[in-house]
Amino acid sequence: MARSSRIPFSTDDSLWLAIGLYSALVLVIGVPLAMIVLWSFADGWFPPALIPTAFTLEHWRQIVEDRGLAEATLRSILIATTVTALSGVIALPTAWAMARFPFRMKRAVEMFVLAPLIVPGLVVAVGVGQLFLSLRLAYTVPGVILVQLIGTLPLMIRLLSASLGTIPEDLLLAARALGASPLRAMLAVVLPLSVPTLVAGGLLTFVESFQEFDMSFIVGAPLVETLPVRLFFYLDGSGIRFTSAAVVSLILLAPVLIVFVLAGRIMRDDVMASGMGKL
Amino acid sequence: MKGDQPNGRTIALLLLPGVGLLALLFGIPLVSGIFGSFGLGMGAGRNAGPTLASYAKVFGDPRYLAGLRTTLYYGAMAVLVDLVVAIPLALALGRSFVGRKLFNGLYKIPLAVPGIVVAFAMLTLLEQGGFLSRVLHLVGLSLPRLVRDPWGIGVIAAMAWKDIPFMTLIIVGSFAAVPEELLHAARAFGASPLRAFLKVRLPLAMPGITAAILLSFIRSTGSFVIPDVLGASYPLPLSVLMYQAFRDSNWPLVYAIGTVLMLASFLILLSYYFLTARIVAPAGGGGR
Amino acid sequence: MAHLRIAGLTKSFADAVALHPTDLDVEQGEFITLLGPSGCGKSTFLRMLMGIAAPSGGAIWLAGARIDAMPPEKRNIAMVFQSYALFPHLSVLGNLAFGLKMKKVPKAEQERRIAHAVRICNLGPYVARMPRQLSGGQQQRVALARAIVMEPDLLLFDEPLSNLDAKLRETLREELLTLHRRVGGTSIYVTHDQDEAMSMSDRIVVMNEGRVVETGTPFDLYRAPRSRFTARFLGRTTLVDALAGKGMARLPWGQMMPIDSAASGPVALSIRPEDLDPALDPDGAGVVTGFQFLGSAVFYHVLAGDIRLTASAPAREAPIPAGSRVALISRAPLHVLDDSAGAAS
Repeated sequence: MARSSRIPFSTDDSLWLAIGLYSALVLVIGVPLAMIVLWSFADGWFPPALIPTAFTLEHWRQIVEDRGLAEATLRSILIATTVTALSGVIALPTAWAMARFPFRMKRAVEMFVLAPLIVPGLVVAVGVGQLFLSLRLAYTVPGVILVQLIGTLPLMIRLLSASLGTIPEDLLLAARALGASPLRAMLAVVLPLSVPTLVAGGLLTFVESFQEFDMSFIVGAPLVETLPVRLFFYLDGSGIRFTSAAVVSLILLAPVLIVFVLAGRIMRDDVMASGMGKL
Repeated sequence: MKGDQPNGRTIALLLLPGVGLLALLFGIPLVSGIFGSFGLGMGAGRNAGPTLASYAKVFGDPRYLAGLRTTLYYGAMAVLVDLVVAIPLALALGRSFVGRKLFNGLYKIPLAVPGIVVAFAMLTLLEQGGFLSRVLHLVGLSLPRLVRDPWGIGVIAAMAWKDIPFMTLIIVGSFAAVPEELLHAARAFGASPLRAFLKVRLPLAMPGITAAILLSFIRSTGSFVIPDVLGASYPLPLSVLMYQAFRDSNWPLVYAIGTVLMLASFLILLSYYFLTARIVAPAGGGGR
Repeated sequence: MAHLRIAGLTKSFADAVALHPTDLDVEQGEFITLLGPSGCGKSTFLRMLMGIAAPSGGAIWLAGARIDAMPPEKRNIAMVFQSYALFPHLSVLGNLAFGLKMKKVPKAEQERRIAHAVRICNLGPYVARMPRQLSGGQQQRVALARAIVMEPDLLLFDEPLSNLDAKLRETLREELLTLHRRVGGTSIYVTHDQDEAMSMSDRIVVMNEGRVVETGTPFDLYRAPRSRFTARFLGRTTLVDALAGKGMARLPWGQMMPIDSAASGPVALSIRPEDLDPALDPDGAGVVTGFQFLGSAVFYHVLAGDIRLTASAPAREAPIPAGSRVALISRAPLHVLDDSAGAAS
């Protein structure tokens, strides 16, 4: 974003600006995150201590020993992987149709595809939850997978149709002229060219699924525990367990941040904002 | 070169998996929910309908009216805080300063933090006996009640923390979508940098900014983890009340609250679509 | 039957006819150009030949087989696109091999054909490169080689040179033509550039508003166009109404000049600049109102009576100054247009 400044700045000014911004950054973002990290290693941290009096790895060892936590982690990974794979496969034909063909109800379909992102997850989930209760899908892993798809499909469809729309029609016609049937043209030309978007979209979808709470909670809890659901139980009601909560928070954050950086390399700002902001 | 378009049937088939699945999982429950709120329709929602009994309960019971107020309050306050921080931040990002590129990546971190983790972090910070109160204690001050307090300060802080990067991103994008030439033209016609910003850049960025505000508001209406963890036990926002009704299997109530929330969302969605349709036109190269 | 035979081919949409029923026969080895302004139907024609647009009526036979109902991948037709359409994710070699893999050509044969195409298109040093590493001219050659390896019955060119600058265009024009002859294939070339059409084609099909205006060799179309449209589209001309009889015509400014037709009565003449020689003459019929010095020739704007026309002369001497009176001497019989062929005027 190499925009020329509207107002010329001397290096002095921009240095102060930088100092101010970074200080704010450390305070506003750094401190809360530091809290979590500290709590995960804290061995007794009571007021008025500003940092824990002692540190321990005990809470981290809990991950392995606490079966519920280990299970929840594995379950979250399994669900996120499945949701990602399914989203990609299901979104592809829809995104293709939307990217390349004008059709009469296109605007309506666009809005419909966008709607699940706008309507709060809670509202969607209670509606789906009731349906799943009658279908005996409630409190099951497939149920959680399906309900998460509601949130990830619109994202994938939007990302994919943006990228599929950039493939020049000439390339497909050239492939057809060279003897490829429409299907082979898709596989040999469209798919390879979509890989960056599929990867980036896949990463974002994995993240979204891994950290999804609202809908997984309504449909799954208390029988199906994903990691975010488990975290909620550590925070809910009496006996809040900060130390365990901290550990789970970090587990939730670590892959998300890694993927965030990776996806950031592949995609542009605004596309990623759409992804993360679930626009 | 363009070929003939495929026929409607092929297009429908292509759309089927995605749109179909969404229709089944999202569309149908939503519609049935609307019907259910009137006591109509299938399954648990069926009463001697059609009836407005559930709506009467929602709007008659002080708990739920308070809930509506609380939902709107949280949403509006969060957006306000967002704007107060995001607009100056967006402006700052438009200038060059040392370490701008790195900052550009770092300030987006809250986007990646799930709501519950935010709730937890805020809890450790803002609670009585939390980090902030201990820091203030050092200098002899005491922290007012910020969590589970009547003003919902903790809730608003957490919502804002999570939303500000998103808002900032949108606003930066909206500012950037205004062609530089327009600003140059304004300057050429005698406007100072400030006036050029106020009279040209800001108005043209407004549709995008407004869209961001509306979307943020909607998301906050559905947020129930943060109010649940950080908010007072009374009054509860509609989102939490809805969850409680769900747990009690009080379906008509669930649908009534849900429909109210959803109606608000759809109204906002429609205005969003009108606004974004207008953004593409004036900003020339801003659209795809 | 001709190598490519088109009968009654037409394409219409709800509100317009893109191509009126058209016939065309092309012999093996011919280089045919479809020439016309934007919207004349040449691209629609090409698309139907390729198979990416379905005809509303008519039939196409290629090498004896009827192909108008076949999908593109079954026709033995190759195309060179205006945008080159090279697959960005494949190397030059990958691009060349693509079609051969699709048609499951045996490996040895693939290698032979690719080696041959690489040689005649001079792509030796580039085979391992990716398309984005190549210049426009190189990319166009790869596009051509990719088409040649398919050994198609018909080679289609969709304005392949319009993305290139003028100098490069001239060079590639010659290359394309040379390659066409070496390969011995049949080519249909679409362009709006009349210089390209005239310099490359065995025959030109002039099109306008969805119809074929006329067909002929470049020489015939230039020297003896039948319709006004062709006369104007190919090269410069001045259209003049005259009165004809017994091989002569009386021009509006009174002069009598020989014509190439035995018609009598009112006729329309197409006068090319090189048809008339301006010579300084105080009693001449025309006045020089201005001129364009083009290096090899001078184009004079002459006002004869009410008619503004262009007359050219080789630039061996200093140009005749504006304002001078000149006599117009005809070098060859002037051409009479024949608009009864239903051509657009």
